[in-house]
Amino acid sequence: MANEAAATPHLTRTRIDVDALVARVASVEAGALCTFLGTARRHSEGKEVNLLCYEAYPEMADAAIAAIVAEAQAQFAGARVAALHRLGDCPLGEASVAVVAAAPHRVEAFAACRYVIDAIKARAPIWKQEQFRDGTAWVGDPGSFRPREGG
Amino acid sequence: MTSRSEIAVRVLLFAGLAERAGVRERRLAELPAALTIDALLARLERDYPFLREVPFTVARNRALARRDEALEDGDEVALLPPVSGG
Repeated sequence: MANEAAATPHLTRTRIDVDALVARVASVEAGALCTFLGTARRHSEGKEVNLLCYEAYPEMADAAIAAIVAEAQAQFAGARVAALHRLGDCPLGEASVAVVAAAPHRVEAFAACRYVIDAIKARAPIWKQEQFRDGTAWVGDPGSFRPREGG
Repeated sequence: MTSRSEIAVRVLLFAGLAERAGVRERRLAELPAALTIDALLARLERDYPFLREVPFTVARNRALARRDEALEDGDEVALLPPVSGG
């Protein structure tokens, strides 16, 4: 299966190491470093979620995130950005996506970080499946609910 | 062997589309040369009628594509449901 391919620079199948991501962009030129973590939430539109599971079109998603990072670095003065999205199971409370933006000043660091997370959510071919006690559903795909087998 | 007048493409399905189809990847061979993406989708709808009901965009060789584009031999065509990463 495509999703069992090895990790890429912007996709990982294991827990996100934020410190390693910070190390990719940190430098003595940066006076600000903004970190955003998207984390797996228990409630979704009134239903209780047990687990999130992410799937991607890995080659295209990795290229999309690389392009988004490059756009942010071109747009915001002195910004250096790293971004990583998790695939596979993401237990509640753990990070499904991380963006780290370093810049000489905080205005650009915040702006670059915001730009990258918003663009990843809008453009990267990545899909989130919510697992409930009684079945699973793909977010944003009405009609995709499937009852748990034997449930 | 595929003749010059015929092409073969790989079709990838993701997330809810793969789940509904029960398959993540199909290879379609012996297609007419210069078949458009629209015409390919019409063929796929015969096997997967749900494709008429659910929204998706199409990528050709890992870039978003228009549906009037003509396919070439060896193309990778991906059907992408609305994204929900993050």
